[in-house]
Amino acid sequence: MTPCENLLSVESLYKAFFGKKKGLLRTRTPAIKAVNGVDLEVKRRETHALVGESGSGKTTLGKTAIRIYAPTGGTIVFDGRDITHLAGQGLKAFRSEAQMMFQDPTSSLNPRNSIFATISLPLKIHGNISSRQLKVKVEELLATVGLPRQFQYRYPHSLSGGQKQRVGLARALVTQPSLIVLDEPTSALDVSVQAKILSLLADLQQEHDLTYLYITHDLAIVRNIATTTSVMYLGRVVEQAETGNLFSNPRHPYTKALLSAIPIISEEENRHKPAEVTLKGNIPSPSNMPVYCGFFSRCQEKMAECQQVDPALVQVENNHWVRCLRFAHRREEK
Amino acid sequence: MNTTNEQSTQYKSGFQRAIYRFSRSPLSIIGLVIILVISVVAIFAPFIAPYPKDAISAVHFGNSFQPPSLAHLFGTDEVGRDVLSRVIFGSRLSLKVGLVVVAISVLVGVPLGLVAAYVGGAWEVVIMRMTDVFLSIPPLVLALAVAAVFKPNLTNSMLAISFTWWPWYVRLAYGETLSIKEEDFVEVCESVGASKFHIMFKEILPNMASTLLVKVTLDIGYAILMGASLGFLGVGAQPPTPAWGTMVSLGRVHLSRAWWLTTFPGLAIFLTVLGSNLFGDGLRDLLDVEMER
Amino acid sequence: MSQHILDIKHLQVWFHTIDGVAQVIQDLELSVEPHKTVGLVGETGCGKSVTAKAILGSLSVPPAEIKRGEVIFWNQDLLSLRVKQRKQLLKQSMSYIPQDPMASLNPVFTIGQQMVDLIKWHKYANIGLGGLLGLRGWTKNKPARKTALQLLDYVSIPAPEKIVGSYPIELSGGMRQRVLIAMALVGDAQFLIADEPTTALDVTIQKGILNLLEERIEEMGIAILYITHNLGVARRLCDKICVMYAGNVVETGPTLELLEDPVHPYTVGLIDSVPKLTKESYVGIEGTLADYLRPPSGCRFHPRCRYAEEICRNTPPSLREIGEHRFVSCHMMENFR
Repeated sequence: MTPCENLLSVESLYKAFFGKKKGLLRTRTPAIKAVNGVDLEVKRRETHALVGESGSGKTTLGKTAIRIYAPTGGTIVFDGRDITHLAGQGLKAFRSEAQMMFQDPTSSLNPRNSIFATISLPLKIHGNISSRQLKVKVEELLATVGLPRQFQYRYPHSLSGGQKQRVGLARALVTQPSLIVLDEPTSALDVSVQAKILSLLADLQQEHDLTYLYITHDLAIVRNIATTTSVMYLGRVVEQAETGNLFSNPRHPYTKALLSAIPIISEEENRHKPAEVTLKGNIPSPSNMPVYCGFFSRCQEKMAECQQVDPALVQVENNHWVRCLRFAHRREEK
Repeated sequence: MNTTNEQSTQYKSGFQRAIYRFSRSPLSIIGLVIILVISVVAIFAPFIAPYPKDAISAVHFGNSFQPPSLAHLFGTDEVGRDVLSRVIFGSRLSLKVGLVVVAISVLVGVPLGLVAAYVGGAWEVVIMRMTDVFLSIPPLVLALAVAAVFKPNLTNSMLAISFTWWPWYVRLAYGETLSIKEEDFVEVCESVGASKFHIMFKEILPNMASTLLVKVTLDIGYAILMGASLGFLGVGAQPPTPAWGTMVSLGRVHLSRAWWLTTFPGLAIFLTVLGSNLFGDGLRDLLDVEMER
Repeated sequence: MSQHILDIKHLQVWFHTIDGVAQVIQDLELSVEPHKTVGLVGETGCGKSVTAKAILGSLSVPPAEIKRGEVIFWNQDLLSLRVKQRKQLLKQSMSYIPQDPMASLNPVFTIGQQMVDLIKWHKYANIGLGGLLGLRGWTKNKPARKTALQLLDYVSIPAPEKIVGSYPIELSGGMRQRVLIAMALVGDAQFLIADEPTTALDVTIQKGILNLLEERIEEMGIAILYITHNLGVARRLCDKICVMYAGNVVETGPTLELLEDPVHPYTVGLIDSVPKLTKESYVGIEGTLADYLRPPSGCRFHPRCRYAEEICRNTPPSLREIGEHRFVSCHMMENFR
C-alpha cells in the first residue's frame, strides 16, 4: 500500500469532551469519550461510510478527522501530511482541502445571509478574488448543484429542504476540496428528494474526483453508495469491511442487529438481511463506559470472557476487521 | 438535472408580512405615531415653535404666569416664556439623551458581550465580572456623585447614565451569542476558516439584530425618563435650558397657582415613554411571531 | 358502509393564510376496518397531519376551514356533531400517539403523575374541585396507580415502579415512546391514530417498538391509522396502505400487493426512490411538491407525471376500484386491471 493511496488516515484517534468545573469543590463533570480510539483509512476517490446510531461518535469522528475539533489523542494524516497539530495559518490553509456538509438544512445556513453570501464566503476567506470573478464562481456552482442562477439573491427561508442542502453542497465544493465529510446529508429530507441528492453526489464525485466520508445511520443508503463501511459503537469501530462483504457476511453482533433492523420494503430485500436479532438491554452511559466490551450489555452472542476483556480490532479476512472476542483468535491486531 | 420550476406565486416577503401584522395592532400604531410626531417636532423645532427665542433666554417679565390661551397654548412660565415653545425645544434635548445613551451602550456593550460569549476563557471572566460590578452601581446615585464632582449639566448626566446603562447590553449580547453560536452555520464558518471577528460581527450579530432592536426601542424611552429624573433632581440640564425634567422640577413650587408649568413637560415625558413602550412592545410581538415561523 | 370503523369521504380542508388560501386537502377518501392497521403514507407536506387533526377535531378552525366532507366514525359524522358530543364520543373510543415524545410529555411532572392524571380523566366525568386543587398526587390514588403500572408493563417497560417516579428527561427516547403508547392505551379505545411514532428513534430501538406494536395490536384487536413516511415501517405493521400526495389519497391497497406492484405513478416513483438492499438504482421524482396556494389544475400530480394527458390537466381524478380492495386515483391507470 503506497503511502499516498489513502487520502485520509487516522490512528488511535481520541476525542473527549471534558465537563466544566462546577461547584465549590471544583469537581469536574465526567468527560465524555466521544471518539475512543479509532483507526481509519479513507482511500482516494472512495466513499467510506461511517455507520452508527446516536451516541456512536460517528459525527464527532468526522469532524475531528478534518480538524473542526482538535483531537485529544492520536494522529491524523491527510494527503501524506500530519495535520494533527495544525494551527493558525496552516490550519486555515488546510480548510480549503477538506470540507463538510451538514445534516440540518435549516440551521446550517445563516438565515440573515443571502445564498450568494453563504456560497462566496469560503472564497473570500481563502483568496484574493474580484467581485466579478466571485459572481461567476457562485453562478457556476449553483448550476453544478442544479439550482437556478436567481437563487443567489434569495434567502434560506424561501428555499425547500432539498434546495437548502444543495446550497450546503455548493458551499462545500467552492474551494475545490479533495475530501468532503457528509454528515447525514439526506436524513432530514423526504425520500424522493433524497434520491435526487444522492445521484447528484454520485455525479459530482465522478466529475470532481472527490473522496467522501459519508456519515449515516441508514444502511440501505450505505449499501448503495459506499465502497467501504465502518460500523461504530460507543466511540469505536466495531467492524470494518468492503461494503458488499459487510452486508453479505457480517461478523460483529451489533452489525447483525443493525442489518436486521432495517425496515425493508420488498420481499427480495429480505433475502439480503441476516437472521432476526432484537437487541435488549441498556446502552452504557457515555461518561461511564465499561472497561470490557462496550456492547456486552446488549449483545445476544456474548460469552463469559466478554466481561473481562476489551477486544481489539482484528482482521478476519482480507480487508475485513472485527472487534469481538469471538474472533480474537484470528490474525493479529491492527 | 431538473431545476426547480420558479413558482408564479409570489410569497409576501418577510417585511411585507411584518407590516401587515404590525398594522393589526392599534396600540403599536399609536406608539409608532407618537414617536414619529416627537421626532418630527424635535427636528423641525425652530419652525414649529411659536416663540423660538423663548426656548433659550428671552425673558418677558410682564407676561409671566399666563394660563394657557390661544396666544400661548401651554401658558407662560415665571419669566414669561412660552411653555409650548420650551417643551418643543425640550424634545430635542430628550431625544438627544435617549439616543446618545443608547448608542453608547450598544457600541460599548454589544461587542463586549459578543466577545465574552464567543471567545470565552479569560475574556469571558473579565468582561462578565466587570459587567456585574457596573450593574451594581445605582444610576441616580452615580449621577449625583458626578454632579457633585463635576458641573451638573446635560452632557455629564448623559455620560453618567451611559455609564450604568451599557452592562445591560453586555448581558443581552452575551445571552444571544451563547445560543446563536450553537447553530450549525457557525460551525460551518469555523470549518471554512473564517476569522473569529468575521463570525462574531458578520454572522452572529445580524442574528441578534431583532432582539437588539426591540431593546433599543424600549430603552430610548427609559433613557429619556432617566434623563428627566436627573433633571428633576437638579443634576441634569440646568435652567434656562428647556429640558423637560428640569422644567417639571422648577414648576413644582408654583403648582398651586400655575399648574401648566409642570403638567405640560410632564405630559411630554409621559407620552414619549408611552410611545416608545407601545412601539417596542409591538415590535417584540411581531418579531416573536417571525421567529416562531 | 357500516363495516368501517372510520370512513372519510370527500374531505376538503382549506387554510386561510397571509399569502392566500392554501387548498391543502382536496378530496380525501380513506377508510379503516375494525381490527385492522391502515398505513397513511406520504412525504412532508402531503397533508397527513392535517388529516389526523381533522379526525381528532383539533384543527384550529380559523385559519383552517373544512369546506366539505364527512368523517364518519362508528356511523356518526364527526363533523356534524356539536363540539361537546364529539369530544365525548372521541374520549370513549379514540386515542392518539403523538410524534415527538419530548414535546408531548410535560417535563415538570413525573411519568406517574401524568399517567394518573390521564387515567382519572378517563374514568371520572368531572374532575371536580379536588382535581382542580391539584390532587394529581401519585400516592392518593391506588386504583389509578395500579392501572398505570399495568399499562407500563404492557408496553414492555422494565421496572415500571422506577419509571413512574422518573421525569421524562431521565428516560431514553425509546422509553418515552413506550410511555406515550401506554398513555394512548388508557381508556380502552377501539381506534388509535399513531403519528409517526418511531421517526425520531434509532433503528435498533425502532425495531423494538415495532415488535411491541405488532404483538399488542394483534392481542388487542384495535384498529389503527398509522401515519408514516417510511414505507418499510408501513410494510411491517400495516394491513393496508393509503398513499397520500398533495392532499389526496392517490392509491390504496393491501400492503404487500401495493408495494410489490404499485399502480399510481407517484407510488411507483416513491418506491423507486427508496434505496434498497438489492442495490437497484433509485431515482427521485421530477419536480416539486404542489403549491397549495396555486395548486395544479386537474390531477395534482400531473406536472410531475410522465403519463399526463389532457384529461389529467383538466379534471381531478377520484379513487376508483381497480381490483380486490385496490383503489387508485388516476385517469391513466384506472383501467389498469
